[in-house]
Amino acid sequence: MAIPLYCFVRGDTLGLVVLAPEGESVDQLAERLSRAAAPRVAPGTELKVVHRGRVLRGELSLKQAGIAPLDRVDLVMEGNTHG
Amino acid sequence: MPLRDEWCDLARKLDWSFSYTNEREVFPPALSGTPWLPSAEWRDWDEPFRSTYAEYVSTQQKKEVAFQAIAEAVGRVEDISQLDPGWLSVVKLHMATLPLAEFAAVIGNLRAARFGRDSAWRMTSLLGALDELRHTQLPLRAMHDLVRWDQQFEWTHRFFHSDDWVAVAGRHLVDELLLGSDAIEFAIGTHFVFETGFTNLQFIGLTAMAKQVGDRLFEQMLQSIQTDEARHAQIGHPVLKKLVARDPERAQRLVDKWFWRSFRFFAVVTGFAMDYLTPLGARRASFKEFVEEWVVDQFQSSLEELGLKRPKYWQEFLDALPIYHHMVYASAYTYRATTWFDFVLPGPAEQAWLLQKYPDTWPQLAPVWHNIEERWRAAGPGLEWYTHGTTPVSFCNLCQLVLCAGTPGQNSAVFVQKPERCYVFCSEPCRELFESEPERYAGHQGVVERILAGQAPANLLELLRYFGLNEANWGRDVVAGSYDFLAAEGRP
Repeated sequence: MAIPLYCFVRGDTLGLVVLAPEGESVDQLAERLSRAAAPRVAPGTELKVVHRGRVLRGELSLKQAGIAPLDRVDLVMEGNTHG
Repeated sequence: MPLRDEWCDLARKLDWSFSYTNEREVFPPALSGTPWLPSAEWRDWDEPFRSTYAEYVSTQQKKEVAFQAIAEAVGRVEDISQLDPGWLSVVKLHMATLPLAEFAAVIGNLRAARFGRDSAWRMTSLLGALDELRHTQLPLRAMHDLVRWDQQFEWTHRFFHSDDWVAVAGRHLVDELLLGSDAIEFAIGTHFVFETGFTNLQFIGLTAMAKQVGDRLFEQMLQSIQTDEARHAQIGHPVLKKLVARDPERAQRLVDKWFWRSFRFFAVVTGFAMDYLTPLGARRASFKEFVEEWVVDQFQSSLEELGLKRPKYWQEFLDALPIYHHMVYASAYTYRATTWFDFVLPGPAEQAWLLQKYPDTWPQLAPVWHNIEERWRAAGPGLEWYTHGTTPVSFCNLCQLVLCAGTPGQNSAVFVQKPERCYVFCSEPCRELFESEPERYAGHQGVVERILAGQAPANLLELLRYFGLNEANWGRDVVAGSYDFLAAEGRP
């Protein structure tokens, strides 16, 4: 099942709504968010997903990470190529 | 005493006692507003213009003739098509958001013309309703002939009938302020805060810019409208003065609420125009400078004169002033196909100007524009989609604008979990306003709620159609990315 999430990419100017499969990994979600923000934020080499103040382990599925529908998720990227 | 002054108040101040009903039934609190005071308390209500209907008709007729002459002389396609393309977007943005909002203001004024508590207030509101009808008709008439040349001008009429996200946000504001308010809230929210507090940004600032770019039609239209607004905006002051005397807490709360909501609206509509869409050579001052002059200084002194405090969200307003509209513009640029007007990519000269005007905040925005430039360079002119988002964006459950508050480093979105659902707000003031009147706002279906309920598509291309847009009218870059500075190697 796909769950809607409110997503914010550090360095971006707006919030996004992403529909992500519950079984998707945190790393895959990070890639998805990086692509979604790419028109405004250059991709980074190190991606961290933050949920309720915790950095999530990349291999966990969204369900295992405790991400629920309409939760806020933040993506922090380091090593951006521009800016 | 001139004869006119002898009889004027006989007509203007014509209240009477009711014999077969009572005052509270004639002026129910739900429509007349609270605090509900007996008519004797309102007897001293007055405003400085004291126009009669005959004077009104005579003055307006002259204005109509003058505007018609200007429209015929300089409002043809041949004239408008000579204007700067960025400026044309200012016109399209304003012409869409203005006329049908003004039409809603006809209704708000007519409600006050019936339920305002003093006859002079009702008379002035009746003239205000006629003003707003005129402000509906002028842009519709002036833009109509341009539609055959550029379909984006059709949004002058189409905008408020559409489900475009800007229209959803616009209706949320307009429905509450102009259609859903009682006569007292309307007088304070519309006349005192919106018209007296903020519209000088349009009437002084934008008029000066229109003159600079050579758009005499827009300049004359705004000036003509301004003379009406200056008269009917006077309704707000005496109503607020009475409210301050009888219920200062409510007076302050209404000012707090409508100040914040009006700022959000003007930050987008006027902020875009002043800092991005108007060509650099025609800019007189930045949006922030205009707001500091016309809102921070002048509105603040009006409040002090009435014994009111600064609006509650004053600090949040000051914090947002140098950055909020920049966040929205950068976001909207990369979702430009979701609007009906075109966007300008700020080049090196524009960015230098923005840095000078916003030294503390522009450096936070510059990396975003640098990234957009790099993507234009990579894609080449004409490939709009490489600098365009495809993922749905999120909106505030109060102002219905995109969650663009805060900074690129820290978006200030606030989440509130209620038993029925989770709500999200762009900022603390929007959260607080929502939570102070949840019964007024909770049922509203924003764009995200419509997508999640299956009423609107999540796919961006389909969503554009839902918004009422198509390839012929959706927003683009004004020159499709064909800027000289992009052709240069790297950053200048």
